[in-house]
Amino acid sequence: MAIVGAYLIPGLPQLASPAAAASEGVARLRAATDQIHARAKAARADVVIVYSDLGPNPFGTAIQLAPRLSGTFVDADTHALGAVAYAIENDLDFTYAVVTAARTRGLVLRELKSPGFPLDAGSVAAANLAERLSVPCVLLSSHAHARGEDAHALATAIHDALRVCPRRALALAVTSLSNRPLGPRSEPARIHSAKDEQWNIKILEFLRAGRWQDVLPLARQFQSEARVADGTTFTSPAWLAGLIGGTGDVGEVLAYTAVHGIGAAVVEFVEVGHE
Amino acid sequence: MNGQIVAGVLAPCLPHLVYAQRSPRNEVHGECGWEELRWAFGRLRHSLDGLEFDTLLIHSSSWRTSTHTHYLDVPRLQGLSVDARFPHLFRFNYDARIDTTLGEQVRAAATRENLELLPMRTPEFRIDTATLVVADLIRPEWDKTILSLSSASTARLSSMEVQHAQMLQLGRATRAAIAASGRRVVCVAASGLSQNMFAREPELVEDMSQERIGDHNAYLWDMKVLELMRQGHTRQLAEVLADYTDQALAETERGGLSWLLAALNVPQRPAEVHGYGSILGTGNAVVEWRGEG
Repeated sequence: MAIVGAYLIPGLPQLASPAAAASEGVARLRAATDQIHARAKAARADVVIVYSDLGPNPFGTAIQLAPRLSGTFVDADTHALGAVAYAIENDLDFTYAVVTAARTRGLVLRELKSPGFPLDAGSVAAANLAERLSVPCVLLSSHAHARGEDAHALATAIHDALRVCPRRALALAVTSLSNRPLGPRSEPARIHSAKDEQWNIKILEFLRAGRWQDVLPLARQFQSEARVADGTTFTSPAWLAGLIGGTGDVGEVLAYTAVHGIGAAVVEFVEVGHE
Repeated sequence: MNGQIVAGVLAPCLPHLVYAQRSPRNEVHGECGWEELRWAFGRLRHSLDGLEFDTLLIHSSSWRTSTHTHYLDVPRLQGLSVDARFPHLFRFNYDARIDTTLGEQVRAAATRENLELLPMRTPEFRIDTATLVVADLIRPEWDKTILSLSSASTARLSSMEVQHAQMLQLGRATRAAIAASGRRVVCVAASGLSQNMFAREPELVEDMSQERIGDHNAYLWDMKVLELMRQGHTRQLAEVLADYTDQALAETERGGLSWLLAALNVPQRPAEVHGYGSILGTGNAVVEWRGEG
């Protein structure tokens, strides 16, 4: 059992729609996801675990239990990018192992089984990667009322599940950095404000240096100062820290850019592979 | 061209109502539930029966866009819409004719108000829950065209005051566009009132004992704004809207009520409150203003 790779990726429709035209920044993000693909393939990942904090559920951590999810994704905001067909196989054995472990740890789950469920852009982007790797997924989405501690506990539950249901797992935490938009006509490579940009740089520096003890306590402040209060929670770093061990795991920023004012980064955590 | 708004409606839009109404277009059916609100929709339908109209124009609180208002600009949209929060209650098959001509006229009028509206032209687009819920409950026959406007996140990006001001502009533009269009239109703000939603859903979703408000202070606020509507004191309502939104966590944050008031030219005539009820702790009301004609 192992986490063979762990990444922070942005939940942008531009990544979910690989055929759409791309700005220079989006092209860099796409190239970074190609790197994830290559490294996951080399690491022989056999499942992709996705945790998105972009489509929070008010009743619990959402977990997809349908064996297969297929549909067409059109973003509510950036619909001009067009429609993206997706087909996702879920690793149900492992998913149910996660459910059991999470319940044992007292986490509140929202089990979803509906075909046609409208996935968020980040989950579609992550699922596209799984499709390219020809491996199944586990799809998790954050609890709107959860804190970082809950996301950390969820990661611990995934370790519990890996012990009873061994996998070589690629972990993808889907989130944005600062998420205040400038609108579709904005200069693509500009973050909403200098303050947001400073926040993004600070968060990325801490991740680069493996300073999780600084990132995690700042998540709430970052959320309130550089992100829209739209129900999303910046819990992805806590989930990643729980998965890969936290302090000491240094990140490599594969790409960082602005997309219509929003901060987007692909960060790889290299000291993983905890057996 | 003598177009006119024949009625303005504030209508709740949680999917529970369609589920309990056992709509044939919804794949899942409840046993009962939320009668206060469903019967209120019944009274609204009865009230609208005597009015000829062409289009339901809906400002949707669940089609959320970031910086601009968007509008549907595809003549016909078909598909299955599954609600992300309540997928076990709302799996709705729709076949909607869209009034794209009116959409273009609203966009043009908004441009004159210095507001940019963005057209949604992707045929695979999934119509949002709020639009479908109010369209189905107001006109279950689906024999009218609809037009849906998104709600921009202006209140969260800047402030409720800015949101309110922009929605007043959009409402004025909508009014001008309808007048020029020759259409007879029912304008609907698909929006709840206070939004203190329970953090747990009951096992039996239509459990009647759970039909209660989540927060008493929010309930008092809901009553205050409904009383202002009933008395026709909409200017006063507009003045307290930002405080109400902030203190009752109200869905007016999405701008639908501001838009509706402006589209109706801030009506000083009393509104008909067809009913008030609670879904998962939230406050909701079906309210109707007759058009000036």
